[in-house]
Amino acid sequence: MSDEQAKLKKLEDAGILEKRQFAPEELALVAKISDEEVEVLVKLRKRLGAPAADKHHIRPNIFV
Amino acid sequence: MVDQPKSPMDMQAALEDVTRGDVTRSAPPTASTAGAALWLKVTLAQGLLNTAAARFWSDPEMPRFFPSFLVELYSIVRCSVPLMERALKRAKQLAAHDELARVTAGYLRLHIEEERHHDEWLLDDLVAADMDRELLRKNPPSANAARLVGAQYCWIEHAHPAAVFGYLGIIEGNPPLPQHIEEIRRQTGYPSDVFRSMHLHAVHDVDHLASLKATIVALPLTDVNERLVATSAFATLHALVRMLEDIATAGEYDSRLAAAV
Repeated sequence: MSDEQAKLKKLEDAGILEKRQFAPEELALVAKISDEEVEVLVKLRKRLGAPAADKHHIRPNIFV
Repeated sequence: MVDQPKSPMDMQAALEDVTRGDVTRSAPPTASTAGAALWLKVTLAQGLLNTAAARFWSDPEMPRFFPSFLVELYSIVRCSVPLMERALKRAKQLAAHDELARVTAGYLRLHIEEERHHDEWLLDDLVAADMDRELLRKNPPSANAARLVGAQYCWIEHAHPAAVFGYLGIIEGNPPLPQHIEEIRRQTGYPSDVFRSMHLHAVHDVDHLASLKATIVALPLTDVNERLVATSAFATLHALVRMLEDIATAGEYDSRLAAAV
């Protein structure tokens, strides 16, 4: 598995990336994310827990 | 007065506007690889913020800490236009020799006008929630708002004003939904006047998001600047998650901000 594929898998396994929501060319760009950025996202996902499946309509409601 | 959504032509014109200061010419919004990659990172971060938001708004104690949320929201909103004005000033200083600064200035000049006076609208809503307008004005921005907004000043001054796109990408990347606002209204029992700003943002932020995305994906970014804006986005995400957690943990809002009966 290439480094880029490994990063995609890590993001997917952590519940950060849903591959089906992205076009192949977008996934190719996501795969160029740095290791440090992957770690930031994965750490935060662990802190927050899994996304709630039935809460897709909920928004932060924070605006500028 | 409600801000009018800008048409794509208006946006194009604003980006290309050459009439003010040292902003001489902005690039037309054509997608760049770096810009597209940046937007995808922002999108991943937005997903995490939505998880934090789902926890926050689904908390059974939410009606109790909702007033604290409104006060924090005001803390952020009152800081946002001055922040963007500082970024615009810095971008204009750099624009003569910096394409990214030129594009940043073009976007901010338009967006500042879209967001101007929203702090006053929000104050109207907080007054409808029985809070005191003058006390809210005198209340300093919270530590969480300072953490969120203050980081941007650091990057604007010491890196590049385009960092503010990371802030905007996270905050404007999840426009409120009318269905959810109505759900909050029912749960809290507050009158609909408390939610006017939220509803206005639900309507207009969809256009703002489209403009912002079109601008970000077209940014002429170096690798360094792409990492800067991504770092800004992730820091914004972190600060907002912490803010939501702190509000939910602290619970009660500062009752000294309540209007005298």
